[in-house]
Amino acid sequence: MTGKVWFSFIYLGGLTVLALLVPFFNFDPTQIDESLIGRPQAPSFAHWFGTDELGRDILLRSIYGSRISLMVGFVSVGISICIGVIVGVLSGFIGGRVDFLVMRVLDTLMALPTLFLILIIQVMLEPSIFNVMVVIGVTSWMGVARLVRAEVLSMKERVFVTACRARGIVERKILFKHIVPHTLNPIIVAAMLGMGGAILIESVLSFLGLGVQPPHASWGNMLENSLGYLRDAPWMALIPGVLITLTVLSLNFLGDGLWLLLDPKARERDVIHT
Amino acid sequence: MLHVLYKRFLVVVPMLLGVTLISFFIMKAAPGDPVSMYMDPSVSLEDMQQIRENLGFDLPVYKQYVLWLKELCLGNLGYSYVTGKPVFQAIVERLPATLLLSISSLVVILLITFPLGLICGYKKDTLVDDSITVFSFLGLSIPSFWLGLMFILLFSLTLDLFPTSGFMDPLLYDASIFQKAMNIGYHMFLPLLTIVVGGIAGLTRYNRFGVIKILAQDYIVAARARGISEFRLLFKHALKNIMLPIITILGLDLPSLIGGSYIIEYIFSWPGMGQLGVQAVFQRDYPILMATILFSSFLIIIGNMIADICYAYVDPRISRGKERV
Amino acid sequence: MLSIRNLDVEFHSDQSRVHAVKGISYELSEGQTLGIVGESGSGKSVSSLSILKLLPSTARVSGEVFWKGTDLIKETEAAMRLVRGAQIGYIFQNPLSALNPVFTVANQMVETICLHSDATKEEALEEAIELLDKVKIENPRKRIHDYPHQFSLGMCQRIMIAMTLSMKPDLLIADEPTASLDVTTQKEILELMDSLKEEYQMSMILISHDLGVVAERCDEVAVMYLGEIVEMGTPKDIFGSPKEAYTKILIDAIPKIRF
Ligand SMILES: Nc1ncnc2c1ncn2[C@@H]1O[C@H](COP(=O)(O)OP(=O)(O)O)[C@@H](O)[C@H]1O
Ligand SMILES: [Mg+2]
Repeated sequence: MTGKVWFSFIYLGGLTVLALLVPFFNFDPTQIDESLIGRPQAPSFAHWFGTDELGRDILLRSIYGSRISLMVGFVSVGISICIGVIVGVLSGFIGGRVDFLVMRVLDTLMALPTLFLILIIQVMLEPSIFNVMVVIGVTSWMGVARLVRAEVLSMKERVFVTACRARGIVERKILFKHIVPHTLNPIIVAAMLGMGGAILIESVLSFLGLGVQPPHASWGNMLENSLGYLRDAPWMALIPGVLITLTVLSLNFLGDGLWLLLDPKARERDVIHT
Repeated sequence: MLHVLYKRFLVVVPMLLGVTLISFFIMKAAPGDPVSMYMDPSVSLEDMQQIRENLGFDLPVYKQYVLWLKELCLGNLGYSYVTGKPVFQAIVERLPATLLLSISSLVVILLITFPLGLICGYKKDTLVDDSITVFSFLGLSIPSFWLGLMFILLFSLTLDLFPTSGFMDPLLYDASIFQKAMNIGYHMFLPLLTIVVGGIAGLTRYNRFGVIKILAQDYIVAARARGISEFRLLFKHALKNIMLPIITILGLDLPSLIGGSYIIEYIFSWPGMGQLGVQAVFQRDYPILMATILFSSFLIIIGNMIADICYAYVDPRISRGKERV
Repeated sequence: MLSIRNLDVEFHSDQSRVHAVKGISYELSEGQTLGIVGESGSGKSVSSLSILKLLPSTARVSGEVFWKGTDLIKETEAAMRLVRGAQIGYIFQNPLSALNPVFTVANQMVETICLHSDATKEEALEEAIELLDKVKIENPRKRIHDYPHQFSLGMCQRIMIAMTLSMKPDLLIADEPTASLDVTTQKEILELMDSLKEEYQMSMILISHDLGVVAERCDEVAVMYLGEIVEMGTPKDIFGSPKEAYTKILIDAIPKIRF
């Protein structure tokens, strides 16, 4: 287990450092090499990851793409967790009819094919990175809400909440001081797994031309560009895909590792579902 | 059994209504005006207004919804902006291919995930378990559309083993049914494989946890104490119990399985609802988009209902109520 | 017949070690009943389960368990399968969770009977029905096709007893067989076990946290505390002159009013 977690730390750490530092150097990921247009070059010493159909350096574009992926991961998961926590905490804490109604709405929303719903919303909006993040965030909070609600319900029953009530502490205080902090562990884990999911969705959107627009680089639109060159320049398709896979894999490893770390009894319980 | 169905029905009907409501609002929110979409530019503005009124576009929104729902029940979902064909017909034409692909992949996923999960859970924390676990994490993390591309690159373009796309060779129009089925299977192999890789990954992990949990149960220890062999313990006593959480998870996973398979249909030009839907995305064909999401949600809700029935069927505690004596 | 020497069990996990049984020894000869008493968590179940090697893989077991001349600790899984059930039967504390919830009683009983004899399915079913009748399940021919959750706890324990007896073991280990039942049912089950022990000529290890239950029907009593046998002797000795303070506490804990 630790091996997987170390791998994830090192990989994600390295990627984040590169993503944060690359703008300070004088590289231009959109720079076109006129002499190489239509003739993608295989990986070499000059271009470690090769060049694409417009002679742009794939390594540089990949690093710029990682900025997009990481940002989408952070922001959209931030949004979905905010919504999920608010809905989950309120629904669980208020209980009764409100809770029942909220759960039925959640059931309905969860019966929609999320990816396709996102595609449709994205079609109606301007394709931009900002919209991608918001739409992913707004459509993927249901799992978090369920998780938090379940946690709040079980917390509510525990003795210490009753003890607080007995001491005459007002409900709102119980909620924020004693219940919400206890839901933190599952949220952290769900966030890790959710970031992986968001990165995958962004790549689909950009692949279909509904996300990050050229000439800006994202792993998804690099894959879109690779379509015409699948046979002649397979590295154009290979590299972004491997990067997406490794990034999502690291996040999943981390989520899983943290989950076992934060909740050692988790092994015996159900897997967290997001 | 009947009370299970009845209870489920009470949950499903509001869900169906909710889904239609969402689809209706997608249609309402879509840019463009369905009337002017079809009209000759020479039609005057007054005439256009008249047509709108005839179609009920000036009614309050909730009345429009009721009208729309009525039409929906009659199988009228409007007309495609692009081809002008009835949307209902377009979707129904695509349904068989989608059902074929999703049901086959579901069956294959189940057939693979059960033994894998059993092995992992039984041999937990051994080399076998660790490697299967790493592979299932990998399967969870690979973008499925990219995996599809890689399969095309490897199996079609490089090895020339499978076709890159399509449903059936057009030349086989009047071949025997068996030949046609074989050819369809041949075309289905790569899309199926792509969906299965992603699908078994998540399920195998759940399955593993389920197996670990169940193998620690009293009734397993008790059966072992009666001298029952490990094989029977696993494949009789544990298996049927493990099916329960798996059925639940499958039900929960349906939206992502179905939603995910649409991209795969598109990549492999599989003539299903998903391909239709993704093409409609490019063409901004809102009626088709709305109908696709509506039908997919119906499929998911029906799938969930089937899952519930299966669950009740496997678990006597639900199908045979508590008639303790 | 059964001789246990220096049996020691330790559970290992990533974070912790639990020394559940600390080198206990006892003997049991044919036809005798041994009682093991002690509070919950004192290692009664763990020490008895290790006789049949039924502990999870996290358990490290050492010592000797001589059964009819062979050391079971050294036996292979395949050999253990012939001992389990057929020679040593085990009855669990919670009868409902010891029965597989998704199979009918008939299914589980027939499986067990067929495993230990050459009976056909039909013969096994008849035998199972007879056994259920013997443990006083009403209308067994019909009820045998019900699922465990359709029976009350007491009836589940009767079914477990019937199933264990179907294998005709030489030794029956009953691990708090009545702890999860209400008082009247407890008495019925204990009486049932007394009569069946006569009929089947079995030896028995009766585990309980209630010294009273054990005292009435055992030839010898072992008192366990924190993984050790702190005192051992005939019920008369133990009641008459308890040496350990802990035993005195147990004696005081016996309810004064009995049914
Ligand atoms: N599978 C296990 N893993 C770790 N510790 C265990 C396990 N089973 C039992 N123990 C520990 O062993 C000790 C003895 O348990 P047990 O024999 O079940 O007690 P009892 O006398 O109530 O039957 C307890 O402290 C318990 O926590
Ligand atoms: Mg015990």
